[in-house]
Amino acid sequence: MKLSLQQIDTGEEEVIIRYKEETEFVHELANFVLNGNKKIPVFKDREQVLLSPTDILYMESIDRTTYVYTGDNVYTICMSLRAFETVIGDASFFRCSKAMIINIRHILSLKSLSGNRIDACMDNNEHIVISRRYARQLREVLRGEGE
Amino acid sequence: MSKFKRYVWAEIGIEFKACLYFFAFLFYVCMFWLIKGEYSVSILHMAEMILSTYIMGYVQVFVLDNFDESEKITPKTIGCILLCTMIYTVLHYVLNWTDHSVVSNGGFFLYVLVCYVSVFWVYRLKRKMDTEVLNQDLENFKKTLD
Repeated sequence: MKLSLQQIDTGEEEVIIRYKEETEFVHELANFVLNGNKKIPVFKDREQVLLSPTDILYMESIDRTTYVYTGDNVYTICMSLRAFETVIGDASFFRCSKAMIINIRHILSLKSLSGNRIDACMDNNEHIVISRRYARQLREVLRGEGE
Repeated sequence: MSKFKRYVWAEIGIEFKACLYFFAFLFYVCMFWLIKGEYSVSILHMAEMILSTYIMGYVQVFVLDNFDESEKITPKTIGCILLCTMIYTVLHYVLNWTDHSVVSNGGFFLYVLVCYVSVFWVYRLKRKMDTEVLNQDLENFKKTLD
């Protein structure tokens, strides 16, 4: 793969990835450009893995343990949901209940339910029901009115 | 959300429901008396109507799972619609909101049935429209992330 670097004086800095085939490496490169090398340490079978936040579908806190769900794996993380929110500071992560954070990037579709609740269908076809209180906040975030 | 806030939220919903059905029933009763050549409706009957719709609001929300706002029509929804329609028709007959004729009571039964089905469809349509807006907002939000 050839690497070309070009210095510019004006205009926005830009990275163009030219590929023949959309491989995992291309995705990783794109992720790196978008998110830097911000990876979080998670654990699976006591083995540490570095995970890109963009791969996370949602996180759940059960009995003081925080679980991280990607499309095909479940990890644990030594961090509370609140600490994760602070560390990651990413607008795509939304607290959808006291014990859960979802990644809006991985929401496939939303469905309005009775009582002003929202059903979020994730990329892996799991459904997460968001209560009225958090649904209102989600609406605000999606419209760019959130904090 | 605190218990008080939850109570207030439920109360607002019940009062909204009570007003909705009260005005629907009042319209039927007014039309009945208008056809009969009468231009007034008893205030006592109106008080009975609002009180009954208010109590039935509580029953619908806390006992019958708020069936008129349910996601889809199930046998349970149909059962609840029929049950409430029958209760209202009995009240209509016993409290003599129109008269004791089969036509007025049968008409009231059908009218309440149509009201319930209409309310169900209106809520469903509202949710459908809300879903479209939500997904549009989601799409726009994702674009801002990229």
